[in-house]
Amino acid sequence: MDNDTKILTAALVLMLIAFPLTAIGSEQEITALWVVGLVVLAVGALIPPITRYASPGDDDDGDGDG
Amino acid sequence: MNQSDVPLDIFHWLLALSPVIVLLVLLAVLRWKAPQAGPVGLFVAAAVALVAFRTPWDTLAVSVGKGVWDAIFILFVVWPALLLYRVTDRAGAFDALRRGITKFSKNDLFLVLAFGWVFASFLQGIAGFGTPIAVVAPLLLAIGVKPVMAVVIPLIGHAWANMFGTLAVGWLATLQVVDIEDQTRTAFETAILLWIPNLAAGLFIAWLVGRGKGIVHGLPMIGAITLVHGGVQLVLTLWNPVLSNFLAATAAMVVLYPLSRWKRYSEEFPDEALVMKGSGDDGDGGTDEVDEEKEKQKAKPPMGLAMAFLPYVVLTLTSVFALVIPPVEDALETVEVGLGFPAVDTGYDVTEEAEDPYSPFAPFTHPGFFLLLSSAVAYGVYRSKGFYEEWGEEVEESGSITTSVFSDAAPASVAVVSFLVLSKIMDHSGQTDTLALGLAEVAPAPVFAFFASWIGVLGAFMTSSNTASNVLFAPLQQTVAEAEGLSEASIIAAQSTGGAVGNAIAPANVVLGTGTAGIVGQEGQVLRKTLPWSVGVTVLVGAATVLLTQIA
Repeated sequence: MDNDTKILTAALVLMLIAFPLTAIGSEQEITALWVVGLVVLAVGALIPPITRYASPGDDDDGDGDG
Repeated sequence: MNQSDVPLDIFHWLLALSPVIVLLVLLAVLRWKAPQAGPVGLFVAAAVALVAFRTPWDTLAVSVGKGVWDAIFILFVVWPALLLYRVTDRAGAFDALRRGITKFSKNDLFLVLAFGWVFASFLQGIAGFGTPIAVVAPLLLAIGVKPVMAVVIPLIGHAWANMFGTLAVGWLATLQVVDIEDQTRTAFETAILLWIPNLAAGLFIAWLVGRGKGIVHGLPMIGAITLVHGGVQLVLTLWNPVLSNFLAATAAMVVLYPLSRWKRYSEEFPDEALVMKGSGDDGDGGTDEVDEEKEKQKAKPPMGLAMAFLPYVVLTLTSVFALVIPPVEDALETVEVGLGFPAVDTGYDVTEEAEDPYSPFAPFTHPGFFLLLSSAVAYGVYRSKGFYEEWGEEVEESGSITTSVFSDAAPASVAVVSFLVLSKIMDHSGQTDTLALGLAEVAPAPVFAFFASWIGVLGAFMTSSNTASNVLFAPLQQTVAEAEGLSEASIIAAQSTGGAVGNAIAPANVVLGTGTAGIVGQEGQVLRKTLPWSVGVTVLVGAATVLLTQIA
């Protein structure tokens, strides 16, 4: 598995983890839990745009992976 | 949802529009990849919600959680569809399909219409949730269609079938959120309007294949298929809207056979098919792809056409068995999973009721389950017959099936989650209401009738779902229709048709296609084809809606 895939998989996992954290946190009124859920989602969502500028081969001409 | 207090000034309207604009600019103008553009749109929607729409943090958290959950419904199609693709491709089944189908008909135009329009509509009739795009895009690749076109064609081809497809889930959901006085008339008018995107899909796909000559050559086929698709659905809405699309799409599949026996469609398309690889039109396949393609064309696939079709036969049979027979469906639906969310509101009194569980997920009636089942059957049969070893000796493939699935599915999944969270934030913060109500407030009756379908398109663009678009906007459309003295049936029909058309440009659907076609990052190129079609069709639907409201 290449690095880009690993990074995006990590981002995806973080975004998915936000679901149980925000659901249980808000339903059970555990503020810390849903706050962590929001933070985890934000971190996961930040990764792909950041990698756009971090990885030198990732140009803006829309040429895909395939 | 309480829609009465959302701000309806131009400042808030433009702010509410900004996440959509940012997304479109990043994807279509700056050519960002969807997994990079989606999160930026998400952050813009969240910032607008917090700063301008008085959205408390806990409401934001609930909308984020619901958005991720909504995305899981789509991801359960993305991953199994990619798995099915890789499982069949690695055994040489796609090459067998290409060779076998070419023997059946050598006509590129016929094949592209048959797969991209007729088969995609059939899949929408039974499965939905993006399955037509995820399944048909690789099939079109297999017969030699360029990757971008392989995504564009099913996006356009399946759109009309969204409303009454998947056994009319969109229609049933609409009946849950609005109390429609004359259901038969509403369903009938919806079917009238849906005929427009159906015919427009056939014509546009033929135009993509061969421009004017493509349309002329394809006209008898397009006429026959649209008569069956549109006509059968129209008549059946008077009897049973739930089965109207499924039966119409199935009948069209049957019509393909006599058409394929006609010399006009069994022999080669007389002109250059511009959507095929190696044609003179704009290329979208890289050098590596062309080399890989040449290598595959030399190799002899280890199986015949029937064996190559095995997973799709399994997919169709299991879907029909489970979803068309009520006792089977009821039994499978007993297993549901989901978590609850509390009631939340905003400073503008946009309120969401508590739901426990929120939108429960029935895995065994979801199309993803049937895709997984098909993948498992295909893998077992192909492995036992030694197809993987045989094809592996002929063609060099890099990485395992699992690695390939991850490299395609991970970027597509990040984009899908981002889009669905963005949509839920806009909904729970009242941005969606501001957009729709703002449009309704400034538009006189005929103008609103014209724009009713555009609101449907907006909903589908944001949620990638005809059903979700109608759940979001049908109550609003009904309220405005009543206030403006317009026909409720015509306006709900326009909303529903717009919701169907919007699926051709919905970012999550586009990413589903680019993911399965292996061209993640080329979403902008896909949108540049599907966007003009969607705009043109929505203009026609708007005009037809004005006519319907005048007749009513």
